[in-house]
Amino acid sequence: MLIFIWGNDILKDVFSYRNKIKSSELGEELEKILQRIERLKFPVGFLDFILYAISEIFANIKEHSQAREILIDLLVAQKKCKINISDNGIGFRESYLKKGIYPKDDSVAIEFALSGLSTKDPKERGFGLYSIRKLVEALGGRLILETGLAKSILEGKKIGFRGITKREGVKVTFETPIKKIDFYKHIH
Amino acid sequence: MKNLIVIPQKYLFFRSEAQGILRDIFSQKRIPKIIELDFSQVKFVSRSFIDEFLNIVEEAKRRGVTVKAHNLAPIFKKLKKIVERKKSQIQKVFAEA
Repeated sequence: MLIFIWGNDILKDVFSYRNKIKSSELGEELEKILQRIERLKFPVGFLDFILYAISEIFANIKEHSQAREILIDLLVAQKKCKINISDNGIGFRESYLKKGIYPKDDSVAIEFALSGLSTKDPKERGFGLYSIRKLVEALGGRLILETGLAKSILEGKKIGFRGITKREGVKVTFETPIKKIDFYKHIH
Repeated sequence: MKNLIVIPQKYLFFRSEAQGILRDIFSQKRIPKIIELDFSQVKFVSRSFIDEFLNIVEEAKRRGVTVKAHNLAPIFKKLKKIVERKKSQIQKVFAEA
């Protein structure tokens, strides 16, 4: 089920999208989303941020998750943006274990993911999520990651962890105000 | 023997898309020493794509083929510089280890 909602006033653009897709549909779906988001008017740098963040999360799902299904929930309101993307894949910890990296639990796996550690292969590094973290921080937003038995909430430079009922796969949520950002300054 | 390849997609997100470019280059019967890739149709690229694209440029060079990319969108140019810098830092760390 695909839902798009549009407002008429550019300053009050509301973009709402919710869909559940199969992993084979990732590329096609991402293209549809990007084509619609590109039409919205954003402060300088913010469009780059949204496109970057969504595409990096999708790329991670395709490359690491082994997910069968992905749930996408986007809301771009007048002053705020909230994005949830979750998959039913193997989760961060299992993904690291398969690459010969051994986080002791799901919290540590989240920390690895947020620090830019991807795999041992020097040709493949994982700075996508790390850069999303830096961008959300610069915007004064919040980034929440849930996988396995752990949930992390990043606000500013603070990161908090809590235990959760076991979650399959990974859920990434970020909420930010919509404002100008020097996008390239925060990409690593 | 085609040494100019126009990349037709508007968006490039995944590593597999960069790997597809390498396959296209080396699937030709006679492979030129220099391949020019025209990215004028491409509006947006992800970091993952750029990272893998740089890998395939290196792989092509190892196989004796120089790959040149033209008409890059601003995001492509800027992200490419950032990723190149990061890769060389990482490779330096691995070389010193």
